[in-house]
Amino acid sequence: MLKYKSVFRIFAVFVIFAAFSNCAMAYNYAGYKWGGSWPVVTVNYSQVYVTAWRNIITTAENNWNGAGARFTFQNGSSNNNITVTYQNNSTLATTTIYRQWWGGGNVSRCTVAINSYQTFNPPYNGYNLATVMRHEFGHWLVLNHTGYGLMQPSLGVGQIFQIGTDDRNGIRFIYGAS
Amino acid sequence: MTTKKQLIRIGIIIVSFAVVFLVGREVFYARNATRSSLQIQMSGQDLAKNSTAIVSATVEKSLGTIRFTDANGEIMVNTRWQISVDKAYKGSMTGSEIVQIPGGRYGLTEIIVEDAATLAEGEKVLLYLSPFENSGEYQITGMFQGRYDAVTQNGQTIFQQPELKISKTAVELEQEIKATGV
Repeated sequence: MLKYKSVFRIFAVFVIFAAFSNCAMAYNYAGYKWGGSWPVVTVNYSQVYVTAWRNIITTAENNWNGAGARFTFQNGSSNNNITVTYQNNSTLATTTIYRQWWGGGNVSRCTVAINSYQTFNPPYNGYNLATVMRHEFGHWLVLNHTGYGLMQPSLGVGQIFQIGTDDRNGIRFIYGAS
Repeated sequence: MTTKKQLIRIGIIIVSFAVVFLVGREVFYARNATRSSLQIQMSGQDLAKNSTAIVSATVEKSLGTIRFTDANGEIMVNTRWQISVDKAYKGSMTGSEIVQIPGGRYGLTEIIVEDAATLAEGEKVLLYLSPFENSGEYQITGMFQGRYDAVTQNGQTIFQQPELKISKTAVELEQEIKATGV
């Protein structure tokens, strides 16, 4: 009897540990944001190997940092990754937002995948990467798509959008004005 | 303890571990994520060029969801829909085909995809389709851009894209496809 209990306990601990490792559970969708009174989100662009693109990413972060909300992007090591993929489809970039399962379901992690199948400017006369990154960071701030402007769901070649008044008002509403 | 009782006890332990493992495995995949994709703007000709098939169809039924790891290494869920092709404007698609729409729930994994095209049973739609990876199934080109409602007005079929506020007749669609030269 004692032998069975010992084996059971050891095995149960192992299975539970294996099951819960790398687990990112969920919460409801409505009303979520990054937690804290002034969230500082670290962006990891180590998998973006083009220096010009890294500079554009940093500039887009600073654009949002200057939007007057209690929120800060910074560069560094984190699991908020920006990656470059190659997919033969109509996507320019995709943001994925993961949420905690506790504490109101705050955002726990964001990623951006830039689709290098598309032609971006730089280095080509294609889609403006700065606008794309400002758009994607807008999603990181939990702004959804709108009909027109920076957060519209599609982008034409050469189109450039800056952070607009509605976008600023949106993140100031969500995170408070700085 | 008798041999029978020992066997029953071992059986219960094995079944318990199996249940814990399966539940734990599902817990590993538990996530609620939202995906937002920025699309390239696609005109009707762009959609036609980038689609291997353009069909008017009736949505038959949902075939449930699948979960997989996408090209970005992220867990993704797609919902599979069966459509019945009414007419092929490009390509030679006939009968029933399967279209995968990004987003859905599989086990404890829920992925919400902003601006994905939506399908519902019984709907009449016009779809611009392209192959989905090597699955033998299809995806809608340009996300929401490649899905139109098919309505009948004064005996004529009109295709309407509600988000973009675009509408075209079947004749205009055929002219658009012809203009692409493909």
